[in-house]
Amino acid sequence: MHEFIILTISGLVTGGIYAITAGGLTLTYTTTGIFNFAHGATGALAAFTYWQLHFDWGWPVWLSLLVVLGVLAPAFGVFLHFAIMRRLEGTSETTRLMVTVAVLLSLLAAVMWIWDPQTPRNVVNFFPGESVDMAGTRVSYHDLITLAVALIVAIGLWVLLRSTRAGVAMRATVDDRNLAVLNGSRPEVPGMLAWATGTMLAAVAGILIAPKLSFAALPLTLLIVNAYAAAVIGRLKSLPWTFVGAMIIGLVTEYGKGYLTETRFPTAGPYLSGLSDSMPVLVLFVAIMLLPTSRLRGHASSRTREISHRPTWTGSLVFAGIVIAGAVVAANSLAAADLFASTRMWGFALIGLSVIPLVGYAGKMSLAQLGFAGIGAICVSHLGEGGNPLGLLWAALICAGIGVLVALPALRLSGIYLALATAAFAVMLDRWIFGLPAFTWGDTKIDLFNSGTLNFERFDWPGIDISSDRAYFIFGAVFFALSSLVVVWIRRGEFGRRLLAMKDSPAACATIGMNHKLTTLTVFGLSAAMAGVGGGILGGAAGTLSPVNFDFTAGLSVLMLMVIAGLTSPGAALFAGIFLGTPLMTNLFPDYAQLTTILIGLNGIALGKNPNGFIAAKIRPEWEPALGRPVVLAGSAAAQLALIVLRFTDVIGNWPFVLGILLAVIGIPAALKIEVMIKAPRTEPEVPEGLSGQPEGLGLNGNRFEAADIEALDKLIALPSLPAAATAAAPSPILPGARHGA
Amino acid sequence: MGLEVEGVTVRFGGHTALNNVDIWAHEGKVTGLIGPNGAGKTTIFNVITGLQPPSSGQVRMDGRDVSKLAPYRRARLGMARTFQRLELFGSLSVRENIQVAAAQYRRLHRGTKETPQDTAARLLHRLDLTAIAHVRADQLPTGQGRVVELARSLACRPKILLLDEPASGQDDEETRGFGQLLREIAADGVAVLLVEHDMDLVMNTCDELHVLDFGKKIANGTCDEIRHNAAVQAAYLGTADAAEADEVLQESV
Ligand SMILES: Nc1ncnc2c1ncn2[C@@H]1O[C@H](COP(=O)(O)OP(=O)(O)OP(=O)(O)O)[C@@H](O)[C@H]1O
Ligand SMILES: [Mg+2]
Repeated sequence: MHEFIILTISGLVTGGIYAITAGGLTLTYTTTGIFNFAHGATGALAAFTYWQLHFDWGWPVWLSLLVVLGVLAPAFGVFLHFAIMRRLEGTSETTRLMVTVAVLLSLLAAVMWIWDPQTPRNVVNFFPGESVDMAGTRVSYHDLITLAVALIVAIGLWVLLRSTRAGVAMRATVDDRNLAVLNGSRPEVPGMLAWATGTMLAAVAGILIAPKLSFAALPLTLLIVNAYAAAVIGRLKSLPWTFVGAMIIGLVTEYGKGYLTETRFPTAGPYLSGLSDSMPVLVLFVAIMLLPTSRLRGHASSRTREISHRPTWTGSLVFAGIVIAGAVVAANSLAAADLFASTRMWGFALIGLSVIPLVGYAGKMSLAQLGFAGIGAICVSHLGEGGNPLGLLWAALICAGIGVLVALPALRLSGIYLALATAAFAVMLDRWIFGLPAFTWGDTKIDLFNSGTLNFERFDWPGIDISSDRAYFIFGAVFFALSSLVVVWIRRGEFGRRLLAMKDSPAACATIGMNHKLTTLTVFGLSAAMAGVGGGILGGAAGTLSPVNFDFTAGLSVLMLMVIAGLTSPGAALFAGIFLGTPLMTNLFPDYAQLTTILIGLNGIALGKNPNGFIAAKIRPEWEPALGRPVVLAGSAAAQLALIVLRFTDVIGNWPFVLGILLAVIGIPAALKIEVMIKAPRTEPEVPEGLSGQPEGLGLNGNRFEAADIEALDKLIALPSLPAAATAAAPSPILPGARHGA
Repeated sequence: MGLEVEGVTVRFGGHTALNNVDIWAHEGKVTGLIGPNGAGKTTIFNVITGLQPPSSGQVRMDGRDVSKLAPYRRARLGMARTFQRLELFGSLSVRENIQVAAAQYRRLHRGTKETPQDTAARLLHRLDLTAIAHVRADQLPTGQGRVVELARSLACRPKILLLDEPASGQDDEETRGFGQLLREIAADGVAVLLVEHDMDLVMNTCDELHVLDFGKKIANGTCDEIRHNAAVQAAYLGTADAAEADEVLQESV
C-alpha cells in the first residue's frame, strides 16, 4: 500500500509535467495548425539555459527563472512564429510537420554543441532536500511545485481560451483561418501569442523535469512523444481531456516502473525493463484505436504550393545510367577505406527511396522508416544466414506486415495521427524492442540484436561474387538504380495515380469509390518493405550494425534530407545516401559532427520558402533541357570518358580526376546556355518604316527625334495626321525640347 | 426509384443546417434543388454522399437504405457527385483525372470492356475537353474545372449524379449546351440532382424542383408550380410581395 501511494504521487507529478508540455503543444496546434515536433527540444534548450544561468554562472533562482521563462522563452516563441511558422501558409501538412522536425534536429544539435554531453552536469530540485509528509510518505517541495504549476497551467489555459479576447481570437483562427481573416481579425496576433505561450510552457516543463531525466538533451527532446500521447487523448484540441490523458500516462508509466521489475518477475524482468518507458506509446496506440473516426477532408481551401513532377522514362533511365556509371567510376577510384565506408550509402539511399511513394506520392507521413530498416536488418541477419538473398525477401514481407499493423489503427483518423503513431512506434523500437535480450518462441531462439550487434555477410547471389567492397558498391548502385525505376513505374501507372489522387483530395477519392484505407495500407506496407530491404542492404555493406544505427533521430535525418531535396525525386534518395552513408561530411567537417546536423536542420527550416525541395526547384530546370540536346550530353560524356581513361592510365591523380568529372557535369547547364546563345544570335528588332531609330530610344541619350519621326509614329499608331503648321504651333507637352530642336 | 432522402436533420453545434428535409430524384429525370445561399444545399449533398453524418434521417438508393455505408461504398453502388469548391486531383492531368475514376470502376466491374484510356478519350471528346487533356488540373480556371469534375463523375457510370453548381463560371452559350448535356445524361437512365443558382438553366432543364430555405424544405413541384409559389418568392426576395417576386422570376426565364 505504501509503495502504491509513493508510485501514485510520482505518477501524478510525472503526469503534471506531461500536462504542461501537452497543454502548450495543443495550444499551438489548435491555433496555428502546426504540430510542433520541436516542443520537447525547446524545453531542452530552456532547461540547459537555466542550468547555465543558475548552476554555472550562479545567478539566483528567481532571476534565472525570470530570464528564461519570462523573457527568453516567449521571445524565442515569437521568433519561431515570425521567422519560420508564419511562412508555412499554403504548404501541406507534411511540410509543416517536417519544418518542426527540422527545428527539433537543429535545436538538439545546437544544445549538444554548446553543452558538450561528455561533461557531466547536474540540475537539482527546487528546494533540495525539503519535503512534507503526506499520507505517510515524504513528498518533495519540487514535486508539490510541479503539481501546483500543472494545475495552474491547466486552469489558466482554460480560462485564457474561454474568457479572454485573445483566447477567443485564438479559437476563432482554429475554427476557420480564412474566415477569421475575412472577418478582419488578424491571425498573426493569435499565432504569435500561441507560439510565445507554447514555448514558455515547454520551458516550464523542461526545467521541472530536468532533475528527473539525468539532464541530457535527447530524453528531454523525446519528451514530446509522451506529451503528444496525452494530447491525442484530448483529440489534439480538448485541454481538459489532454490533462486527464497526461495524468493517465504519468500514472501508467510510474506503476510500470514500480511493479514491472525484475525482483517481481524474475524471468520476464529483462524484457520489461524498457517497457515502462514505452508505456506512453502503448497508451497512445490504445487512444488512437478508441478515438472517433475523423471526417474525410477535401482539398485545403488554398491551393497548395506543392507540385509533384511526373517523371519521364528517358529522364529516369538517364538517371539510373548515371548512377551505375558513377558508381563504377567511384568504386575504381576511391581509396579502400573510403570505399568501404561508402558502401553504406546504397542502404540509406534505398531507405530514402522508400519514402517517395508513401510521403511523396500519397502524402502520408511515416517517421519510422529507419525503424523498419532496423527490422529489415534483423531479418536479413537472422533469416539470410550465410548471405542468403532470401533474407531480403523475408525482410520485405515481415516489414510490410509490421507496417500494416502499425498503420492500421491510425487509418480512420486524419493524417497527423499516422505521423504520430509511426513516430511513437519508432521511439518504442528504440527504447525497448531493439534492446530486448534473446527470447525463445516455440523452439526458435530469437535474439533481435544479439544483445548488441548484428552480423552480416555479403549476399551470395548465384553467379556473381559481390564479396569485395568494390563489387558490393556496384551491386548496391545497380540495386538502387533498378529500384528507382520501379518507383518511377509506380508513379506513372495506375497505382501512382491513385496515390496522388488520394493526396490531392481524399473526399473526391471516396466519391469515385476508392477505399482510401486500403490504398493507404497498401502503400504503407510497400514502403515499409522497401525500407526493410534497404536495411538489409545496409547491413550487407556495414558487416555489423547495432541499435544506434537505427535510432529515432537518425531516422528523422533521413526523412529530413529527403524533404530538403524533394520528396518525389529518386535523386533525393541518392542525395540522402551520399550525405548519410559516405564519409563525405566527416571529411569536410571532421570536428563538427553537430554542424552537419544543424546544416540539415537549417535547410529543413527553409522549406517554407521552397516546399518542393531543391531538386525540383533548382537542379531539374537546369539539367532537364540537356535531355533534348544530344550534342551537349555527348560532349560531357566524351569529356568524362577521356578523364576516366587518363585516370586509369595514371596520367592524372585522384583529385584532378574528381574535379574534372565535376566540371564535366556542372558544365552542362552552362554549355546549354552557350549553345542557345550561339544558335540564336541577338537580333535587333527591325526599325519601323520612316523612323530614324527604335521608337523607345527616340530623342533619348542624344538620339535624333525629328518631325519625320513624329509623322511616322503618328502613322504607326494610326493617329489622324495633323497639318505641319499645327504641329509646330502646339508643341507636344511631353517632349517639348525635342520638338523645338527639330 | 432513384434517390430518396427522408427526414434528414443536421446540426452544427447550435445551428440547424438542415431540418427534417425530404427530397428525392427519380431516374431518367433532372431534379433541381434550389434555395438562397446558406440554405443547406451543399450540406444535403454531403449527407447523401456520406461525407457528413446527419443527426437523424435516412438516405435510400433504389429503395436500399445506405445511411450506414461509408462514402466509398455509396459511390460503388452508383452514386457520383461534383463539388462546389472544386475537388480535382490537382497534380494529375485532366485525362488522368478521368482515368483514375474509370480505372476504379473497372476494378470493381471486371466485365467492363472499355479500357480506362478509352473511357477517358470518350468523355474528353463528349465534354469537349480534348484540347486541355494534358493540362494539370490545378491549372484550370474554375469553369473548366467543373466540367472536368463532371467528366470524372461520369467515368464512374453513376445511377445517381449529384451536381453542385456545375454551371457557375460558364458563359451563356456554354450554359445552354450544358443543359442539353444534362438532359442527355438523364435520358440514359441516370437520376440527376442539380444544385444551381442560374435560374435559366434550372427552369429549362429540370423536370421537378425542390426548394430549400434556412435548412427547411419550403416547396416542391414542377418549374411552373415553383415559379408561382408564394413561399418561394418570399424566400428568394426576402419579401412577400408576390407580384414583384413573380416579375423577377419571370424575367429570369
Ligand atoms: N462544417 C460546418 N460547420 C458549421 N456550419 C456549417 C458547416 N457547413 C455548413 N455550415 C452552415 O450550414 C448552412 C448551410 O450551408 P451550405 O453550404 O449547405 O449552404 P448552400 O445552400 O450550399 O449555400 P451556397 O448556395 O452558398 O452554396 C450555412 O449556414 C453554413 O454556414
Ligand atoms: Mg453550396
